[in-house]
Amino acid sequence: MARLRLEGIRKTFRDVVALDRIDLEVEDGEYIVILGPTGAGKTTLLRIITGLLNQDAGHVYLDERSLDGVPPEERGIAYLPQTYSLFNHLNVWNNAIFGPVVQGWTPERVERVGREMLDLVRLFARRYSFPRELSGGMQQRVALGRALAANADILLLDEPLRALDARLRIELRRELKDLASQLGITTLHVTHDQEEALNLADRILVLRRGSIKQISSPREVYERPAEPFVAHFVGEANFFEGTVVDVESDTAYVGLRTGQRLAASPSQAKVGDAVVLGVKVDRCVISREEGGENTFEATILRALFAGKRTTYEVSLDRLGKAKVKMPSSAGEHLREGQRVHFSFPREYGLIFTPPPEGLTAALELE
Amino acid sequence: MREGQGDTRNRRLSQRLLAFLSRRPIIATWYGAVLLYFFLLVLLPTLFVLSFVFTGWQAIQGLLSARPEVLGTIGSAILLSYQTAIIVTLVDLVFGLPLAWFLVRRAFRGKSLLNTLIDSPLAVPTAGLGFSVALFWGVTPFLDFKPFGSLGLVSSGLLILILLHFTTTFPYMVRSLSAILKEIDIDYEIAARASGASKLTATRTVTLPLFRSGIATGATLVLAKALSDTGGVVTALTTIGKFGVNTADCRAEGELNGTALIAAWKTLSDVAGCQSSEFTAGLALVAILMIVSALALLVVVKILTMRARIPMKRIFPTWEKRLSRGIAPRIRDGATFFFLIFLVLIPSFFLIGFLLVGSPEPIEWNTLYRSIYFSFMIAGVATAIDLALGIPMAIFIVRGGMRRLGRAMDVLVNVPYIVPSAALGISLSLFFTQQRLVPVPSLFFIVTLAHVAFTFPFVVRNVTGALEGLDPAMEETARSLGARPLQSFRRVTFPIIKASILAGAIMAFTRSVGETGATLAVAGREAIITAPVYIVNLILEEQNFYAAALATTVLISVSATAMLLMRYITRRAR
Repeated sequence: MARLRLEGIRKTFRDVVALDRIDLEVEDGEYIVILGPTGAGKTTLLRIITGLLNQDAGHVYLDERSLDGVPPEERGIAYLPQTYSLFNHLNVWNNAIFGPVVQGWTPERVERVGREMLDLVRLFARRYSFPRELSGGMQQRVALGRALAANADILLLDEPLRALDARLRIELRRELKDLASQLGITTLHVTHDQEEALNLADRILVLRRGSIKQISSPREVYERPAEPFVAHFVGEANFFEGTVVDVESDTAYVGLRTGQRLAASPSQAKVGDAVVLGVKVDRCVISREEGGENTFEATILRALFAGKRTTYEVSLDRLGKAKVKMPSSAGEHLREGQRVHFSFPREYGLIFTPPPEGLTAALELE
Repeated sequence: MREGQGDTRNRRLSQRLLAFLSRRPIIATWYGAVLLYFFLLVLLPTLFVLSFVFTGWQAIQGLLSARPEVLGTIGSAILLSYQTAIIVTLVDLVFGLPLAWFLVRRAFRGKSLLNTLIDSPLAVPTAGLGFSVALFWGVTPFLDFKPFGSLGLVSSGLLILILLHFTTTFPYMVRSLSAILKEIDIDYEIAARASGASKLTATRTVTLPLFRSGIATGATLVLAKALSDTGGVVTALTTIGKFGVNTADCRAEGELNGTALIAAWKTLSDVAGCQSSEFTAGLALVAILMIVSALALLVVVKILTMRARIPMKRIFPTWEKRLSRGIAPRIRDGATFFFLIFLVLIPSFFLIGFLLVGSPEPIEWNTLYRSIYFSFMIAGVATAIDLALGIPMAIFIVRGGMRRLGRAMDVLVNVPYIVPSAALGISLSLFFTQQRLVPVPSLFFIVTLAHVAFTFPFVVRNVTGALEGLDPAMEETARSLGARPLQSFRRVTFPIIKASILAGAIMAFTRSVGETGATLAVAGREAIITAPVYIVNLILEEQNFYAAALATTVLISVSATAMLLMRYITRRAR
């Protein structure tokens, strides 16, 4: 049983706030992905949980046991850093049994666990190889096996798939998920790759500039983002600033400064409130025929073909740029420079309160 | 069954012991002890002589009024030391750069042989080097025959010291330059050349500025070594007849530099007919002046190399292009190898030739063996202490988590290395005769402490270098897998930095074996006779050049074996 609880964690470096008011409860066996742009404080958070870094304020609890001041080796939290940190002077076997050996287990148990874990990551046959003789994927698996063999209650993975090429990354993603659920180990996995997060997580924690923006299931993070930033960071979105002009039971109407009226899914906002209306780029459509509701006249600026899907950059008349991501098959007849109609169905229009720092600043990645 | 239980008990015990030793107070105590040792028994004794300015001011004044000419003697001696050191540093730099370049950037057969050749003068104790160089270049008034090939050209003290220090310092320069050059990514240079810069322009404007720290390190090592050496200076000057100790008049004679003056006065202070209190004041004064000026010079070097604006931005495409091609690079390479062969290698080993043609003279083998035994005892004990203190000190500097203090220690550790070892010896013996803190069992003890002081930096330098290159994530991962700090050091850090520790240890050891100045300054020429002191005695007192050559050759073979061993082990460790 391993439940992890973070309470009001705060960390500053000099006068830069790296983490602030971090509260989180992780259930036993849960797979949490911490998602955020570079510099969001993801690695700092992991290092505080392992005890390699001390927080300025707040507490870390493992099963109600406070970990404040407990050195890393006594926490039972295995940490897999970005670079894997395989011990190059030891072969695969000795890397794998490092944890059991330093923890002073009996030789029989060391032997058994080492074998189990290397079997699990399918590298028992390579146990006499040295890390430098292995491919990137194998190295990653050795590091994972080593972390698992330490009999830790919690596994922390810092961008575990970063150094691998795209295809291998997708393959190992599945493996990682299977392993974690097979062993039922509580896992925190850090990444900046939204697809990885959506694939793997039981719950996603979106981190930006040291504070939590949202913690929910992948589907909810994607479809019900808590803030414009989350909507934009996970899957990109178009935004329109306006005022609520009418609210019905299943629709809220937003008036733009151009005088247009857009329909969106209902929210708490009342008539007269200033709001931001966001819509995911893959929920938008462009077409040469007259569309349905929420239609704008637009010109295609650029088409970026990416196989199955194509992303169009369009210029909406009197409103500026927007993006549309559509199946390539649906846009075969579309060319750059063409006049089109841009539209989106009302149920995908999401209403947010306007961010205090301004929309542009709220969407920035760094 | 019983055995199994014993095993379990042992394992539990060792786990508990490790847990105990890894506790913060224990680690803090450990660091504290190392720092305390460093400040009390290394730094304080090294700089103790400076306090003589206050405590012994009257003695100094007395000396100066009784013998006003002393100030002139000291002044010209120190001037000679600095002239030599600065000229040698500049020349080393001029020839060291192309050679380092050649070693790092070109692939050729026999590269490791060339590396060994360049390092080989380090295997000769400087007392032997001085003799060897003077034999090759110098006018030799005490020798009744000239060995074949000797030039017999040089009779000036300055010139012979410069020639001597090419052999003692060139390896250090080439090593530090090539070490940095290896780190510099050649892609910068390629990019510059692809944008149309000539080879010389690319090197000068792109690589050289990245190179400053290497030049600073090299210059520091060379200056320190040239200022510090005693054994080589004494034997070289003696061989050309420019070093003499007149015991009747209580005067040092000849063309002496700072360290030679210390050696001469130390000898005189032990002579019955001379006033030893005067010499104590004189020695302290020389030591003070040398220590202060050495430290000042090194600050200047640091500032010069880091701040100086070489005209980087101006480009001279025509002549730089011309100099990059055709005959100019060949002249450069030719001159470099000429320097290496005729000014470094041949003079270094010339005395072996003397051994072949000279007329055998009797040698007291027992004294020689005893002296070698002493040298190795002292070097062994000093190296062991270096390791015990130097490794924790390096860990403290790199990973101690106390940034300011760590950085300060990083600088302070070098002080005993930079201070001329003869001056250090004077300071140390002054400290141990005046302090009441630490019981002094014997002179051997003080000599060993002196050796620890100037060899300690080698271990610390090498280990900090290796630790800085090591990804901290390695140790952190080990910790998160359940390893105590001690375990993570033993199982992860140590195996990776083993080679550097060994390299540092062997550098410390060979330096200690070959050292003369501090040993002389602490113990004089009679009390503790290490091998280099024995060589100096042979030349100075008995003019038994043949025996000196023989003793040197024996020492060379022993040191060479040690160096080969180091190369072998470090290569295997890699």
